[in-house]
Amino acid sequence: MSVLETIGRFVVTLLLAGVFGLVVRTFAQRFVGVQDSSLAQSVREVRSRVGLGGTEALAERDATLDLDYGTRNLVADGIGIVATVFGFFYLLGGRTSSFLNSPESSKFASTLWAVILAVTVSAVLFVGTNILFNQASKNYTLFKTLIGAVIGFVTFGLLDGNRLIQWVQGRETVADGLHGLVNNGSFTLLIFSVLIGAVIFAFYGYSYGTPRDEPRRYATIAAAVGGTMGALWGLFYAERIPVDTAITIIWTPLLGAILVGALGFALSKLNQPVRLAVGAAAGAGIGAILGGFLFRSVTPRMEVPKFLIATALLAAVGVGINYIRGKNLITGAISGALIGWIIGAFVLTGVGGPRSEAIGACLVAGALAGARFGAGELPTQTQRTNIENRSRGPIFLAPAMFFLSVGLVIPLIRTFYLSFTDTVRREGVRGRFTEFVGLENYDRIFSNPSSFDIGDWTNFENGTIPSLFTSAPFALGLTMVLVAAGMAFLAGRRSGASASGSSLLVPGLGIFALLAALFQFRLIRSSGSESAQGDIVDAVSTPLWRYAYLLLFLAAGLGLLYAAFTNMAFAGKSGGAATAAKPFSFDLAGGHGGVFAFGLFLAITAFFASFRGTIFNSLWWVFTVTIVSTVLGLGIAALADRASLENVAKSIIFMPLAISFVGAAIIWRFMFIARPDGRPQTGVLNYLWLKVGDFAMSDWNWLGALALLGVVAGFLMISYAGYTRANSGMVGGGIAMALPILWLAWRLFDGRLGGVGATAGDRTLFFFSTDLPYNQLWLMLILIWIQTGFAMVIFSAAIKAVPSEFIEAARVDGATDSNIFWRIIVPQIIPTIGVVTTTLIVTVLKVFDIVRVMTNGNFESQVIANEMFVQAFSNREVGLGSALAIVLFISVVPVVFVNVRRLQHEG
Amino acid sequence: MATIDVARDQERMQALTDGSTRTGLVSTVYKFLSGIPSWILWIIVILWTTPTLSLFVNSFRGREDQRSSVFWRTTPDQLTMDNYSTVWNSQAAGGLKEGFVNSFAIAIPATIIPIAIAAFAAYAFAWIDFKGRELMFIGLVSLLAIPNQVALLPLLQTYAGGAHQTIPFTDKTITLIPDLGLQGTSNAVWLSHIGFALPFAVFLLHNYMKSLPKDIFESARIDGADHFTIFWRLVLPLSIPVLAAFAIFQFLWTWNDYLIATTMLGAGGGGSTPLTVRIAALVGEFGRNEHLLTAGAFVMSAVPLMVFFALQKYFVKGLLAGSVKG
Repeated sequence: MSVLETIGRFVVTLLLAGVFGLVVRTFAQRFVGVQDSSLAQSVREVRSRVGLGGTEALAERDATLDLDYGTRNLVADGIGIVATVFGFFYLLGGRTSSFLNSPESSKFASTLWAVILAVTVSAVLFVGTNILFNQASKNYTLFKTLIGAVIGFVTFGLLDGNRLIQWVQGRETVADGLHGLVNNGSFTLLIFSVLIGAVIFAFYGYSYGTPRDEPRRYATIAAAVGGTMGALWGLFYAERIPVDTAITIIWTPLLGAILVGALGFALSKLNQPVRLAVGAAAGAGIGAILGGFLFRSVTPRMEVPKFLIATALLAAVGVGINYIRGKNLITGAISGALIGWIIGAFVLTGVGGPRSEAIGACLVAGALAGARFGAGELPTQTQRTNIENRSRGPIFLAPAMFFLSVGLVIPLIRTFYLSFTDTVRREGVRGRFTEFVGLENYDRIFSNPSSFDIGDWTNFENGTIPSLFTSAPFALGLTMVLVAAGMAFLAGRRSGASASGSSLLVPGLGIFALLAALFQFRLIRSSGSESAQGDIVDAVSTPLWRYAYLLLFLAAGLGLLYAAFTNMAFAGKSGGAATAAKPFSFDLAGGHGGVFAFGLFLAITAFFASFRGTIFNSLWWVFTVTIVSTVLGLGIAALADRASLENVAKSIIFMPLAISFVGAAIIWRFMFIARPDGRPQTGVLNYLWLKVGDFAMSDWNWLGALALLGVVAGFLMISYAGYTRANSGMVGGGIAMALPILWLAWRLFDGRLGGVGATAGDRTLFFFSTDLPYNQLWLMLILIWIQTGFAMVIFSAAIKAVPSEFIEAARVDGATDSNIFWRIIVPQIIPTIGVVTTTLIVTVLKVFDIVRVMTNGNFESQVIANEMFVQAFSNREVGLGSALAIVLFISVVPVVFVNVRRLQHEG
Repeated sequence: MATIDVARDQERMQALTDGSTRTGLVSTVYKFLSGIPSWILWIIVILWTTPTLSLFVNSFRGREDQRSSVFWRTTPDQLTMDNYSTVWNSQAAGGLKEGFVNSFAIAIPATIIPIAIAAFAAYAFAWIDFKGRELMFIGLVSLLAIPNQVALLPLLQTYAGGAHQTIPFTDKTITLIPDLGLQGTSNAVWLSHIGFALPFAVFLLHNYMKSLPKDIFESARIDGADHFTIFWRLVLPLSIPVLAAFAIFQFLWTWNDYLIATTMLGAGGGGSTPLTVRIAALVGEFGRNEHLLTAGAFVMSAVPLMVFFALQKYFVKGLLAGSVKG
């Protein structure tokens, strides 16, 4: 295919598909619109019936319902998009016809059916339960019968499924049936369930349109029962299980449903004392039947003292509980005795007793259970209504609670348990066994050098990882911190205010500066050779700079300690009076606070670069990505707030959030590619880097240096402007920006920028994801690229929510834009900053995809989430993997706490 | 003296708010500098787009072209759809057609089913009085930030062999969930997604439903409508915007998921792996299939990007309403 043809085909296809999609969308909009207004109509009808038609708020809501993009156009848009995609592929390849007959289409179909099946079954269960509990107040006999049937069906089904009772030796159980259903769920079955579910659902909604129409209600219930039966029949038919097998499978649950349902029916008609007697007798009968079919391996051996003691004990407990709750003591005793009997007969004793004993044990248990149902009086109408009302919350919650507990809570608890175990092999026995090992897994995590490695922090040999105190970012960061501290001192002299916590900050900083000076001194003494850590470090390791740093750190350290001691002596003299101004006040409020924070950020980055290990790496990720994304997101939101084409800019920055982490990692992999020297560089970053190098080596490099000097001059002007306005942030910021650019200009002029090596043709490339120690920063860049959009969107909404009167009032009073931002907007959105930071912390802690795709934890870039995956699923170290998951869990617990507190504050 | 001070103050104020009153070099520089913010914004926008653009352009170039020059040196005669047709059709290069279908097979159920379940629960938390409601809701909110990793191992064990519990002090084991043969199927993936999605879904929908006017509910109750009627006829139609917001959110989430899919299906294989897993496997053989990754990444991102750009408004709505999702 030629290029022209490709492009042409592509464009024409896209256009045609677009037109097609548009047409479909228009039709869909008409269709959905009609549907929607009838929906709105019905809502309005209900409202008018309840006498709410006229209020203003509702009229507004009606308008929303009718016209809102959300209700009508959304569906139409969705259909239009699907049509466009479909049309695109159809026209592009003409493959649709083959697609319809392909395995992919059958996959589509089976997925669709699975969804419909799941939704239908849930809907039938949910609606059925609702109908069932509606009967509590309307038709108690029906309610009690159906409840009994359900209890019997489920109990017998569970017993049968667990092979605790058996009808014919070696036959299939409910479990087998379910297994077959999920694996070979076939068309017929699905059609059955779907049709039945749809019919029932429609029926239910229809009958509710006229609430007092009793016959229709019964028809609905009948349809529900019939539907369930039909679905079951469909199950066996579709599975092509012979009818007799099907009957044997369904036999036990059905028998249970009939027996217990009959019991429920009887109990709903009788009053005491016949009620209790009938309950106990019928229960005993059902128990006896169960006992007769009890599986051989679980028939209990009656050990009289054991089960008598258990029964008496639990009965007493039951009485005690009901006494405290103020409920009927007899029902408490019966419930307790039932549980005690079951424990005594089936748990504490051995198995293999004779059939007669099994029947006896089950008979007593059944009698107790039946007596429990038969105890108490028939409920009055009020009580029955109460049953109905109280059931509603649990019914609505049940599906969510089921999935939450099965899919999240119980697995979490089990992971806790697994983290204290280890799987081992035993001599001469097949398979693996789980052994309890206590805290051994946690010990393995925390004692492993690959989790914590602080060996490099004083390493000033020429290793790949710089020592903390002599690395370039640390020196730079500490310098900025110290300069800012000096400015804070000057500001404190003016204002007399002292930053909170400065009593710890000042001496701490002093000690740190002295330590840094000490290490600089040792470095200068011990090494004459240059370290090979890239350009920036190179500059620091120039002896001249080292001496300058040594002097600076020494002076600053001594000065800060002197200030701290003077303050302490003063506090001692003045009796710790908090109101008195200290001789040395450090006021961090103001722009130099930003310089201080940035310096601190750099110094902490240096800290993480020299401390290695999985846990340190995760902390580093959290630290860097959270801070950078938040700050960048806030900055961009503030910038975009006033810009033209604001929405375009915002959606472009926001876009990476829609791309998967795997996709983002691939996108950046291509940015980071470094091809062997001499071959054309196709990674954008290395390409540009080498281009800079070419320029530095060319004859025109002085021109570039001059231009950079111009920029430096500009920043110095900002600094000067800040000085005239007593704005320390502008002074510090200007100088902070000017210095590195000055350095760049110098390197450019010197011809040493852009990976230019000592000899001609020898160029230094960036191997972003592998070059220690900063390789992880490049991986973090990917996540920052994604998450900044998230922070920006949230901040943007928060900034727009700041009342415009505040901003206008400030502007009238002569506040500058930056004043408005720092003094008005930022204090207003502090809660939002909290939300963004906590969300980001959790996201970053879970980061897995990026590390897995980029390095898979190699080059010392392992993080907890990936380590957990590797241990649990690649190395099959279930215990260790669980322990790592729990470490991850514990590290988000503070965030959970913050979330809950926030919820409680909001009401 | 006082008058002069006032005059000077006014002058200074004007100078601060409007740089144009100044004259000379400082003013020129000031004007220049005050334009910088919008430049910075657009520079950031360009920086943000470059990586995606680079990959997008390269995806239409052959292997040798990709390896010989940087993306903006692309010439029209290099453009080709070969990468796309290879990744789409060839099994050796990932078999993305199958992966595409599998991604849908996971994302659609994982989007639709939680909505239904969560809507019920959200309504219960918002408008039904029952014992322990507050406590349960706090429990739900505390689940929001829980990392998925903590539940993966037991879930995988359940899919592989069911859930069985040995009763303490006896040798008897009972089956709580039978082995349903879910291991290695897409059903296992979307079933897992349901549990992980629910806390956020319920939280998001609850916040919205709680904000509906109370008088509707009270009058409807007085008129004899029960909770199910109110839910079905009143709340659900009114909640469609937030349902859409959650649906988009959840669709993107499940489509882009890698962790759960690779855990439940295995990194290497099986026919049911979604796009993310297939493409991540392609990365493993980076050298050989490097040029195909470009097209693969775009096949993978096409659907989320389309959903994103078409329905951004709802996505943002969901993001804003539920920004405590873990």
